[in-house]
Amino acid sequence: MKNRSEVTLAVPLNTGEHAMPDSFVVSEEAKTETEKRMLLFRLSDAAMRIREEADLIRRTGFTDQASRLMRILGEAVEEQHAALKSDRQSK
Amino acid sequence: MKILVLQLARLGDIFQTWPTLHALQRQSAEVHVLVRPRFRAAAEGCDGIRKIHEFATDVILSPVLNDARLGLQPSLEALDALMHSLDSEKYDRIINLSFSPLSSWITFELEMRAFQREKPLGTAGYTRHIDGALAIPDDASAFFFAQVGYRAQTGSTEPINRLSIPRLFATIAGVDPIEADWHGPSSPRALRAELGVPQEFIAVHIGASDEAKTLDAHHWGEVVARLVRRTGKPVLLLGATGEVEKSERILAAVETNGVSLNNDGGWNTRVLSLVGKTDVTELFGIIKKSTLLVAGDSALVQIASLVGTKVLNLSSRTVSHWETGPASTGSRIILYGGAAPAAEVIVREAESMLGATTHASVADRFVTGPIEDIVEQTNDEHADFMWQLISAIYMGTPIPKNVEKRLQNILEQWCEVQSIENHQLNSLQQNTGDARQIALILDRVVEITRLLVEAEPRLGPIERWWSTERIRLGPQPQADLIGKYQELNGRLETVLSSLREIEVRNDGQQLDI
Repeated sequence: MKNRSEVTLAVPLNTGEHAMPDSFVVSEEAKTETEKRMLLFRLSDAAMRIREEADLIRRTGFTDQASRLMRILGEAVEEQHAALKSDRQSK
Repeated sequence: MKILVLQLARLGDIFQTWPTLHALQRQSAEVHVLVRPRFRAAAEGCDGIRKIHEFATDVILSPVLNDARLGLQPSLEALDALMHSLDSEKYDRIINLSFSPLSSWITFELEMRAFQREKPLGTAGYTRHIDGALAIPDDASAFFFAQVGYRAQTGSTEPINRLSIPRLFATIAGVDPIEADWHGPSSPRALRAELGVPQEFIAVHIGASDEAKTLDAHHWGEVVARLVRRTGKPVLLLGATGEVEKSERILAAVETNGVSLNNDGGWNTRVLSLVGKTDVTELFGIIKKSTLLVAGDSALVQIASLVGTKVLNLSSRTVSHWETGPASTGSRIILYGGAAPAAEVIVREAESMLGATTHASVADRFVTGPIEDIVEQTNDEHADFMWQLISAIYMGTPIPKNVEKRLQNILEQWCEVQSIENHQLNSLQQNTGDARQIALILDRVVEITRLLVEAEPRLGPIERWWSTERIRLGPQPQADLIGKYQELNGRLETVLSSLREIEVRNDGQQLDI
């Protein structure tokens, strides 16, 4: 039985095609290959910054609102990161 | 009752949510939805929606993307503001139809805020347990997790599930849709667009979210040229702004194929392109007016399903036609694996659908309506067996027969592995073994079970049901968890032994799972 309280970002769920996120950044901000690459860096930076807060989540658990919001933000970043990567790979 | 429906996916998924939203409204619910701004237009015409909220990813993420350190707090504040605004609506229920980690955390956050207000709300769809583990509160979402979503996770192209996504959404929401729930917007704008089209025509949607789900420009050009020549009906090209260049190449290909466009830019044109010139509401009116829509796997197929227009759906095998195919009566689906069907095949099928000829159909599926009976038998025995297995597990239909020796051997091995798990669980329960060793053995049981299913993929639906039900158990005291595992294993053994005994019992077993 696994440790259920392990804190990771972007737990891979069965997302399915129905859950593929849109990449607002691809359509509205980053159109060129260089822009997309820069955006990937920025998304990675943001994901790392949020991961630094994993200790806070471990300490307080998800009964704490700040931990939950941090987790939502982390997932939103990871989702955009995945969408952008998939968009680049498909071209 | 006030309900928030989370639909954070794309256009097609939002359209597939409409029947559920209409059904909820029929029950006098006040329905709000949470969508992404980019796809808001797909929700705007739905009569079932009272209010649209946006998950504005750009507003929330921009600060932290601009400065990972200093922007974190402003991003959290923007997110908190959205959650506060949703919470202040004081919903009675949240229905999450997005199946993503992000949506599960949003649902959880809203649940927690309501709980802290001492007004707990009901949820359906993915959410979280208090320790952060995934929670799947309802059976229909568990079905989705086990038998639909796994395809994206494993890259499987085998469409096993035969329940359509709109009907699954309705089941998750706890409503029984009726045929009348499939309808488009009743706004004057949609009606104007419908009336603005002066004659009968065939609509062709040239695009899709992924080029692999539609034909290339040359191929469409050939199809359109033959359609015009053979049916005598004008063809209207539809698509998004990003597909304008493709539409120009299609028009050029039509002329190369010997059909003059008669291009006066108006309705006398034989092939008129409205690609990039229509908004979502207008599309509803135009597709409603069209005699037939020819399209790959795209959002316009979902619009046609809502307004009842027949679709000739050219469906790539990377997509499940059972789940996202057309629902309108009289639609047909031609499946293809590698190369798309030849233009002649497509045009002959279209002619047959228009009643112009009596060509023998090559369609792989005929659609009889949005709430048609589930197709139990196709010409694919392998897929039929797996669907019947799913149906037996979830709906209590008779377990399918299969006396193949290879399958029976794997079943025997699976039962042996199960007996090891049960033995270990008993030891854990009676405190007669080393808990750490037992945990390692239990993990190994899961691995071996997966290997058995890899060796015999037809048993995949059972393994996915079993592992999903274990995930659903959630955090609880070890003694309770062991009891639940044992109970679930008992149900698994019923399934496995029913399949093993089929040879002697000669079917007819009803499972009550």
